[in-house]
Amino acid sequence: MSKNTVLLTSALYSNYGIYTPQQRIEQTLETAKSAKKYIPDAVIILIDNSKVDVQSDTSPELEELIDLVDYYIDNSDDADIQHFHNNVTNYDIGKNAMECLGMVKALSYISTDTDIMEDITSSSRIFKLSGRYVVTDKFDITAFDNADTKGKYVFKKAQPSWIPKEHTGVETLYQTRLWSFTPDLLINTIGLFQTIIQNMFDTLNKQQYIDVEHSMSKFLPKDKLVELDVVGLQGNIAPNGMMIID
Amino acid sequence: MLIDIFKDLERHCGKWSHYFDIYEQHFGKFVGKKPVVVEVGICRGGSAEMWQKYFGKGATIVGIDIDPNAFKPEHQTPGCIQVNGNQADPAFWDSFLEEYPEIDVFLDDGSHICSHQILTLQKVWPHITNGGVYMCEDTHTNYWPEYGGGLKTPSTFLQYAKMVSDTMNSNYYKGLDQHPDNMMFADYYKNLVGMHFYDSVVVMDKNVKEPITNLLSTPV
Repeated sequence: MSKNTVLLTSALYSNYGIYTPQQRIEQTLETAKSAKKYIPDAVIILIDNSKVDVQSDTSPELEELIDLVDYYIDNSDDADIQHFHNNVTNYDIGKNAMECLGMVKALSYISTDTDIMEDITSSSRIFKLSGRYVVTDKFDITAFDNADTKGKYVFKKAQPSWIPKEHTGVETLYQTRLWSFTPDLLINTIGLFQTIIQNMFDTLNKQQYIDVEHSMSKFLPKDKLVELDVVGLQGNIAPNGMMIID
Repeated sequence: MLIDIFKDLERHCGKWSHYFDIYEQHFGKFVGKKPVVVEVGICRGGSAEMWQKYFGKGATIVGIDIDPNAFKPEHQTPGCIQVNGNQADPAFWDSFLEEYPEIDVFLDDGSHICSHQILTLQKVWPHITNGGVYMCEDTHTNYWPEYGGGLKTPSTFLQYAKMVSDTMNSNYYKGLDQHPDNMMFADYYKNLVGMHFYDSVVVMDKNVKEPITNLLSTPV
């Protein structure tokens, strides 16, 4: 069976949303368990962008989470990540920019770590999975991993945009709670996020707004994109707890 | 008067003095109307006895508690239903609400832990009848860290309730406020027609919203 790498992103301690750190840890533990259950031979890299030194948390659930994942990248001592926690009060702007920045930092680190890179390069696919959500029995590895998806990104099918096109330049968005790419796209993906972050700040400087979902629509190479009706994920969004099923 | 019923209860019940006016203001319309009344937090059975006497014959009074002591025979009011359940467990609510899908009066006097209060509202709200009332009491715990509280802490029930109150005005959202997450949230609470914040109590009124029009007394 082919190995798969899962980039499990989280902000276990966060200023944003209705969930307490304890709830976030418990939910993210469930995320990791679901990834191990449904994604074949999953090697999980937990990438956490917490606002505090999360390792000082002594809860058994955090211990179990860290034990369950294969690698743990803790960005809570990163000055740039902390800048967003401490200075950006707008939920959307803070969350989006921080997520992208956390991905760039984690992927850049990963690309220099020989142990992780060995796992990455021997993986069939890399999945980006948002913490607190769970992979469900609707997840179908053959939909992500087949002859048509080699060398390509796989996302849930594009949805109509809710932001005026003059802000974003696009009419659709791609949900980013669960998506996937092949290891040969790792460096391109770091570049993709760098482009997205630069564009986010350029857009904000024009008093306009673009989030990561619209940014994907704008910058993903369309010739390297496969869309799925269902990706097999569900959970409650952090701002208000509403349930989503992707 | 509810306070008179309270003073004559056979079983123990503890309530803050100012709650009685709030109860009467929001629950009074159900007296004698055979409502389905659900309260989280049985304790020693006094409140079930109080609600039974207050709402009158034909009312269905259901108490929920996690504490085995609540189910001692001396804490049971004949005619009232007692359910053993954990309000922090989504699966409990799924099964309970299958049995009681329509609730006229709901009172959360359970653990008083913020995350439990939020989950309880999220689960129960779709099952409140049109014209029904949802009440959460003892929300002063939302300022106490041991209950997950703190002033303006985003994960408290009170902060969540303030967000819910915004949904009544979602028709007026503009620009980025029309984020799908906000609109989905507004749709969930679309039948929220009134919200009342008191000292330690939040009350939510549910009903079908009538289209509103701007009335003019005379031509300008």
